[in-house]
Amino acid sequence: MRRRKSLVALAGLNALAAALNTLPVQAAVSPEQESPIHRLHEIRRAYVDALGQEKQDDRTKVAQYWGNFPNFPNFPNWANWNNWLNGWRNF
Amino acid sequence: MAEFLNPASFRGVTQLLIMQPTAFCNIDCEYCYLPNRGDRTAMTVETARDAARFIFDAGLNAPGFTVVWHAGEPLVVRPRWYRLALAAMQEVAPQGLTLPHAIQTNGMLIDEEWCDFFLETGMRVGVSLDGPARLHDARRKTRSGQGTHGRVMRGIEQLQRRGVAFHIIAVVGRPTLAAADEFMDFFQSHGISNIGLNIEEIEGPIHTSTLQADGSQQGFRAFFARVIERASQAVPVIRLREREDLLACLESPGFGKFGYNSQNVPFGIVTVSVGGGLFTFSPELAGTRHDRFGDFSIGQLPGASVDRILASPTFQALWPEIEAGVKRCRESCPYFDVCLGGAPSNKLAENGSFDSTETMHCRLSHQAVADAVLADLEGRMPRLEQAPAAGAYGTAGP
Repeated sequence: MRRRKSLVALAGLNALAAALNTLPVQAAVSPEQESPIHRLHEIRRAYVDALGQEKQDDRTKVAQYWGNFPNFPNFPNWANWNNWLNGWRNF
Repeated sequence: MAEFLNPASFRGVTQLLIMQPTAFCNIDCEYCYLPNRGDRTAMTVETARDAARFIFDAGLNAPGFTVVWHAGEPLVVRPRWYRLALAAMQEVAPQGLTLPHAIQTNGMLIDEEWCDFFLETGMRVGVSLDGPARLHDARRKTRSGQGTHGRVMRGIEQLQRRGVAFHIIAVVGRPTLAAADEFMDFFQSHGISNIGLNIEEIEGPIHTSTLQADGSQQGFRAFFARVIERASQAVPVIRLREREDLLACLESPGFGKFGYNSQNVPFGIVTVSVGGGLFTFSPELAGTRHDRFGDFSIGQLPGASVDRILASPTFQALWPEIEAGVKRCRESCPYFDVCLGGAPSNKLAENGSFDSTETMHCRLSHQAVADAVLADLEGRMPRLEQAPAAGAYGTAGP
């Protein structure tokens, strides 16, 4: 059901994009605004929804895990979320 | 952010302890930012023990905390030294914690003895390799100017023959951007399936990059998009660190709430130089010099403590300026949630100040990567309806 919802949302987005392409104001949309970063949250929502329940459960565990570190609520740790990444840093 | 200036606040924050067993490197890559590459001094076992003690006494270690041996060619120091150093560090680790170690090498010195050591210790191995010989040998040279590709490949073949898992970190410069297929053909044909991409950066004493040329951002985006495509088509699938990292970021329950990354929060990364100097923030700051920040050292082993570091003039100069730069990124950049404020060392080298925003490093390593990965995700979403198989997005499992 989650996947279907996300696909409906994406289909809606695609339809919206197609509709926008037919509008005369199309030229007002700058190439910069067409960058997918401006749709980051929509893309993320669809991606996460599509991951399925198994990943959702993992996400809950990770949220609980980071709840043990209240001093740094702003500190991310993608690497620990996905253990495969451990040891891979950009230095 | 004043609450950070309390030693207890930093408990559990350090992800990486970067150890420089020697500054010496047996080769002389043209884009290397490390100073003192001719200095053969080796770290003492006691300094290794002191470094671990500093982390554990202050409780800095985060879950998943890893020790990385790097910042010079670490295989110049022989396995017998590492056996002593690893044992000394383990002795002072909290009970029940087995310290994970990783090493980043140029691969020139890998031999049977090293393979035995890697298998015995479980040390994770990263090899620096820029792709096929044409690209690699153009920049990664011996001190006499010869290419190093042949010897590195012999080392890699040895790792593969012995069953030592490893990943590759490849530096991407301007010539690589036009050679995505050649680059991926090379890795695929050699059975290499874990790759990280570092751009040719402007950092420390390196003031220019081939990627400064006009059109590099579009070129990098196109290169990375093609690399993603080739990686997902490969059998077995090739894992790209940048893509996996961005997917992990999207999957994180904390997405959108984080304000800092490991390079711009104090003690997120701790670097220990060969002589026991302590550094934090970007590891590349270690060993370089600056008019206002000196050599960026925040303390000296043995005897350093978090409270003394927080009160030190160097830390007090670094942190407010770095934090101000992060704040400006947060307020001005649409990529903030996937980058979290950039790399201080790149800001300083490119913009002359930590209190600044966009860099070439941001535009390529974060923005172009995000553009390519997000566009790829968007392109894949509708197809899921026909092929909803598990792992259709290629997300790496643990």
